[in-house]
Amino acid sequence: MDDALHDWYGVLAKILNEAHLAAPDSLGQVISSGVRALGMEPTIYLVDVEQRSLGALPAGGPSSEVDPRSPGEHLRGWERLPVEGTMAGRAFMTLQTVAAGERRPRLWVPIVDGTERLGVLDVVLPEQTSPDDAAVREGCLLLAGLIGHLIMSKQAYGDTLHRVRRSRLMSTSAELLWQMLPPLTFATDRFVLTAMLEPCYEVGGDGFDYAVDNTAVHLSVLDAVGRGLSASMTCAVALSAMRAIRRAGGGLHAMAEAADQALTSQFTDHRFVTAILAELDESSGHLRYVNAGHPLPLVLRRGKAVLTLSGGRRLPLGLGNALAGAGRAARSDEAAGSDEAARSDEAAGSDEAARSDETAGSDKAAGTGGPAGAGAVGEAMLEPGDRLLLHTDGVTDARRANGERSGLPRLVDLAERYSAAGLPIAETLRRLSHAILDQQGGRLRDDATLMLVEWSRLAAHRSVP
Amino acid sequence: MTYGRWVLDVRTEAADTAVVVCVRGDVDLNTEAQLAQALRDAITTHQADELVVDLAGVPFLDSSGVRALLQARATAAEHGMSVRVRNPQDLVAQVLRVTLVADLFGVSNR
Repeated sequence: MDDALHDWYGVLAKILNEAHLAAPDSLGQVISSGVRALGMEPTIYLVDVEQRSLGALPAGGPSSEVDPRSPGEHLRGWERLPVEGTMAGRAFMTLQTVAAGERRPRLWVPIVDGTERLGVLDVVLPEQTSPDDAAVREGCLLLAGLIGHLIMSKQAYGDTLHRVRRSRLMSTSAELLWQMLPPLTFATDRFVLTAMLEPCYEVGGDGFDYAVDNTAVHLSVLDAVGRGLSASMTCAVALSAMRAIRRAGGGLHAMAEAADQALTSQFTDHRFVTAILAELDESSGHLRYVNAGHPLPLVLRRGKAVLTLSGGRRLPLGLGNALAGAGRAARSDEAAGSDEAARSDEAAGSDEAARSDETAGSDKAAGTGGPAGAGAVGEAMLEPGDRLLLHTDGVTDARRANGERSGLPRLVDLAERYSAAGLPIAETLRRLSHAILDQQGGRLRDDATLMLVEWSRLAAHRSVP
Repeated sequence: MTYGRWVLDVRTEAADTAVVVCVRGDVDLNTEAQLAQALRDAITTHQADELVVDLAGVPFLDSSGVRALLQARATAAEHGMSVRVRNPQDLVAQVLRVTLVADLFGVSNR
């Protein structure tokens, strides 16, 4: 092994070995002491939950001093860099290493775990080192990759890694919810999925889940009635019931029925959860789905909404066994709920296609079978490059400055605008989510969730630094 | 920033064999409890075969409104009454259809 590689091997080996017995708040120190052998000074920055700034992880290791500050003050003590307008932020947004060299040469290297964007690694290089040196860049990227895995694996064992990512107190409801959810972004060679959920510190009711097994990508978006802790608990019950059944091999309707049972066994106040449950075959693009009273998912192709997925309808989760006889919406000839292509007249733009949801959506509600309309499964075939957009009504019910609902056409327009920049999909969604939130002063009527799935090798690989 | 009023305007009156509750305002998390109480009161204080919920003056209704209607339906059933929704605006009718409860309340599925 040549010297340079041997040096990096030594660094990574030292870090890995020391990491075994490292508490989360020692991670900075473990990385520093490993990399110092190469004459480099690292600083780990973690993105906050709202994805607006990057906070520095202290490199000094655990402190034995008792901190007398109140919880709120404590959270504001970290050095923070805004994502917008800084080199660190550019590395985070684009997933590209950024070279800088004011006094000392340095690199800003994106940190991901898989494709989950965790933050940025700042590496100050030895005096005479060029930040464009390929071997140095490669080594730093490898280091950042290891740091990403270590951060994810250490998170559960202490509070430091959570504290750095919070700018204020998180509500109990949000604490419960975030604990339940998988990471925001995941990709395989063939597809990438990313989600965002607002308001980060007060969410209660919305949720999402996904699981990839063989070529099956299971995904869901949930919206529990109400808000706050009560709604979070409702969501937790539904999500857990569905996961247990899914992990036992149960299909879409079995999952929904399990949620019905769990919700009615726990709650007597007619609470319910609207949801989309879907399975995408990542090798063929075949999509199967069930819609439990939820806003219709959209398929975007070259920036336009070309399909509204209006099949597979059943009652919201929690109402399926309580309301026997209900939910038999007007049956169409297409009993299996195959999807109606919105007018794909390109000249009409996305407004027209998206509007088909708001007016004609229920035509294809195929309530066949039992009381909950069970049995009907919607189907669609995605084309390579297609994007599936799921949302909760908090997104479209958000108010604009003029008081009007944001609505579906605007959501599609915004999705198209931010996709055109060719950015990593998680960045597209970050900007889209912030645009919706910012359009009415950062206050939402209800939780707002977005999930974007892109069936595309290019998009998947673009999500890796 | 508030979205319209946080209080509903609710009027209840008897009409033949029905009790009619006319609602004006946005039905959401902020006003759900008020609506639920008004519907409960209408059911328990009137002898009627049917509760009619008139939503002509409701420009917005979300899942919490759906829940209030479902709760009213259950309470009404205990009192031998049915529940019907009358004059929903387009957006509200759409919410009832998307959640598949439209036909429970006599709203057409188009």
